[in-house]
Amino acid sequence: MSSRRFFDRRRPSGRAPTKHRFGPGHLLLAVLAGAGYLLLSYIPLAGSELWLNVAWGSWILEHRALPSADPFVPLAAGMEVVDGEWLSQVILAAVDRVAGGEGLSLLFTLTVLATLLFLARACFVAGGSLFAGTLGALAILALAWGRFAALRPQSFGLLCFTALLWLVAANGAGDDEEEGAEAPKGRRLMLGVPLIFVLWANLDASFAAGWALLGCLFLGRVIDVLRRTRSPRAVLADSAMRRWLYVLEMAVAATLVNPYGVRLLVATHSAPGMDNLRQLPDWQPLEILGPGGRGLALSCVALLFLLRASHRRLAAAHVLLLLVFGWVAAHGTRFLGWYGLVFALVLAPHLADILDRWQQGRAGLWLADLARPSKIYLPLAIVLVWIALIFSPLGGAVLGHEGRTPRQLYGAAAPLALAEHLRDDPPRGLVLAPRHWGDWLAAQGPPGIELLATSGAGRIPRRVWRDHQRVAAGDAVWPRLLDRYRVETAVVDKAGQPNLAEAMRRAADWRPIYEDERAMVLARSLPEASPAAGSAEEPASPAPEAGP
Amino acid sequence: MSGAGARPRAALGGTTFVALQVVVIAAAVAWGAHLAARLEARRALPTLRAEPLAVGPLYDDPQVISDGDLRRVLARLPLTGDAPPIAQVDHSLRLWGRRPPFADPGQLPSWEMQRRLLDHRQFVLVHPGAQAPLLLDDPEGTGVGVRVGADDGAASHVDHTLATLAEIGMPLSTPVRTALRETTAREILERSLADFSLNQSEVEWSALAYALFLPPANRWVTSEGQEMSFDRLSERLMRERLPDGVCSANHRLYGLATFLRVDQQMTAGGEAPILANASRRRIVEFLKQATSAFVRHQHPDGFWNFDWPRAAPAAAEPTERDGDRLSDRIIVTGHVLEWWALAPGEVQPPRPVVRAAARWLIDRVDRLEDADIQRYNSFLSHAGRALALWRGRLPEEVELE
Repeated sequence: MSSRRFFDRRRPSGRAPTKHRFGPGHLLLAVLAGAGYLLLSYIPLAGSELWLNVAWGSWILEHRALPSADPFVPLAAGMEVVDGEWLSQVILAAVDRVAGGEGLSLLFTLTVLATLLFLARACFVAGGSLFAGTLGALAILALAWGRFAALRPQSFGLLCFTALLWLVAANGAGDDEEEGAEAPKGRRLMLGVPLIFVLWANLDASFAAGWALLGCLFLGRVIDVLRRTRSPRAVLADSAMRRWLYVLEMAVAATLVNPYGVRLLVATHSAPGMDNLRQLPDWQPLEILGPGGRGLALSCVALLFLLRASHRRLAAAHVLLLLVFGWVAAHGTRFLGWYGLVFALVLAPHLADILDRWQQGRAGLWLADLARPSKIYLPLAIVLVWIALIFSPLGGAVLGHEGRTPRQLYGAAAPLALAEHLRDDPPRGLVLAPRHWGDWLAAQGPPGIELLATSGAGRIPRRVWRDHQRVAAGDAVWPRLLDRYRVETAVVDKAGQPNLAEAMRRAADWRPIYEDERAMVLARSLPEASPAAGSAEEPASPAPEAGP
Repeated sequence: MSGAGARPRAALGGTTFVALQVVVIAAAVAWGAHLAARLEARRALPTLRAEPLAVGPLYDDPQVISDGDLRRVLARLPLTGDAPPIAQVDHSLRLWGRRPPFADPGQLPSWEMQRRLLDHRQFVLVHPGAQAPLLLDDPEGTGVGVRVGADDGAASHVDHTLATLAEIGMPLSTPVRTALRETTAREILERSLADFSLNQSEVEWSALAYALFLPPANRWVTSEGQEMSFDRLSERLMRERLPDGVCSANHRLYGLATFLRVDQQMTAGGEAPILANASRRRIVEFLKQATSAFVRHQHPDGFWNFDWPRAAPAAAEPTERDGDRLSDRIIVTGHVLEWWALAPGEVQPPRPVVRAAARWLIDRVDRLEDADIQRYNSFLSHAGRALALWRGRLPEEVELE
């Protein structure tokens, strides 16, 4: 039984539909989209991951090849590189080359907006309610804004995931079809899923989330049919079950269409560099009292209340989705975004059901009267979206207004002057820099800069990674470690690394060569390490004596 | 979704569908197993030599040290005492190799030193108060480790014991007894390879042991996922400035000289070299530069101290300054003679430099009290070995007085 739609085209009284298609729900959506576009477009380009990926993308464009080793960390030589994000990196670098920071900002805005719109559409299709769809999109922002707040390959992964959600929702994902019901043919599913996964496997390493989604739908269907029929034969004969299995197999096969083939699948989940990644905040388990943990807990509570109030059955697939993605999110804050998307999709039909029944009450009738489609809403929506565009940086550029300052575009934390200094006066030898600045310098600093470490933790030897962290924290053994790695230039964040800054100021063999309000650069001279052949003076040496 | 209708029939019958899925899944599993095997092979330890390569002396110069002086110096160097520290035992075993017992029963014979290092029962008898076993064993892990520490029951450097076994020609089948089981020296090498990181605090002895036990194998992947080769190891040995590194960087230089010799041996034997041409050239230039610094900064009396890359020692007599004590001078002078004795001609200093250094060492050993000989035994082991090598032989081949 399909639920009636809030802000439906059909009037609740049963009168014939009007000729106008736009209602206040569409206007609300337009307002939210416009406001969202405007807000997103003014968010500074924060997050060091963006710059490291821009740097890699620039390297790829320049060399027209994928790197076999980390181009910015010479100590990573010999580490196998499987760059599953190469396409994202190329896109980011190309946009940066063509349109600079404003181009990246626009890309960020459009990517996040498209993700939310896809999600809203998926929720609308799943629940049959525009309002539920909109609410779903807002819920994800509340739950996991941090995952959307920065532009990085994962942003494209989330976009692919929501596109997949839309596709599967349109094909009855999780619907417990009654016996005898005809399953949709799903041509768009069969074509769309492989296409999404081919792109996804080259954009971001998160494609396993898509597998998990399809796997849950498949298993959920098996459980539902088995529970209803108690017959394994019926399960095997169920066309919807087979469809989900074929789709899952196609998805797995499609991810092999990448420059590394099956190595991508292996490297994504079992590389030695995973040990380094697990030390990053993003990969830490959620703390129940932390922001992510609270969000996850609140979502569980909200779900319980909604399920209690909803008359719709919770499909086995949806249970599996919540369990699998919830468990994964609990083990790493990085995965909270995926859980949030799944949560919104599962929530949508129940929310729609509750709204539908409320709509049938007196207040609902009054609102339904108010919610008649009208010819005024479409032009109003267009005007509001136009206003949002005008006031955005893109609109300003079209109208010839002065663009944002670098500080507004890149954020107050970006070491702009530092990068400019290092471009003018390139550093010598290996450079120590805090992770977040190392990424920035890889993209914005002098060409060919060689760093002790960047935030590409998975591609750096474990010991190098840990030693970098020790030095960054001002550990007392920092001089010995910098000698071991033959670091010749040190970039220090005075505010973020006060211990190291103070210690290096006092060190006899380090001399400050640059300082601004945020950063300090120190250098030392070391003799040539391994000389080029033939460059050394010949010692005076007679022919050796006869041997034994 | 629409309501009732005829039951939808799937395109494939149930049996056909199951058969198709079985084929697909079996193919995926087989491919996955094949991939896992390839990955395992890539990460597997390299094939090891049962017996280590031998890198012998190149020169025999009686003007560096006479037969009589050599016998007299070496006769003073055997280790004595009931329970000398493991670090000294390690060094002394390296000096004497697999020599037959000394005439003096108070001098620690090679077989006893070997037992103390490789047999946990003997180790416990000699060092009952040791804070931990010397041999670290975990049957669920990979191989046997050798504990490194500052106490008497620990080795002084990472993989020093392993390198000692390699240099004295012990095969990997040499029995080893830990607190848990009996095994062989192979497990010590395997543990070293499994734990190795290019940027660990000390790589000098690991590199040496690998150069003697691995060729013709030249590549392996560490547990960090980094592909290792002797080219990469040599870059690591040359990376830090001089004289950073144990014993004023001389172990780095010794390791590089050994690489050159092994590389030559492999090429001469018709096998693949362990170094790329460019690496070999860089090593030679690096050692030439080091030799040049030694030549420039030798004290007129023939010795060096820890300042050797920058300056000659100021005073003829040792001082209490770090790097200029008597022990420091013995360390540097003994070590440099030792690696020069193995190094090819292209990195040799003028012979008078070698002779002056040898003269100083002989004179010092003659003047040292017995107690000081024991106290500086580890450092003097290098000096004794160096002097023997400059006469074209190993200390174990010299008849003592």
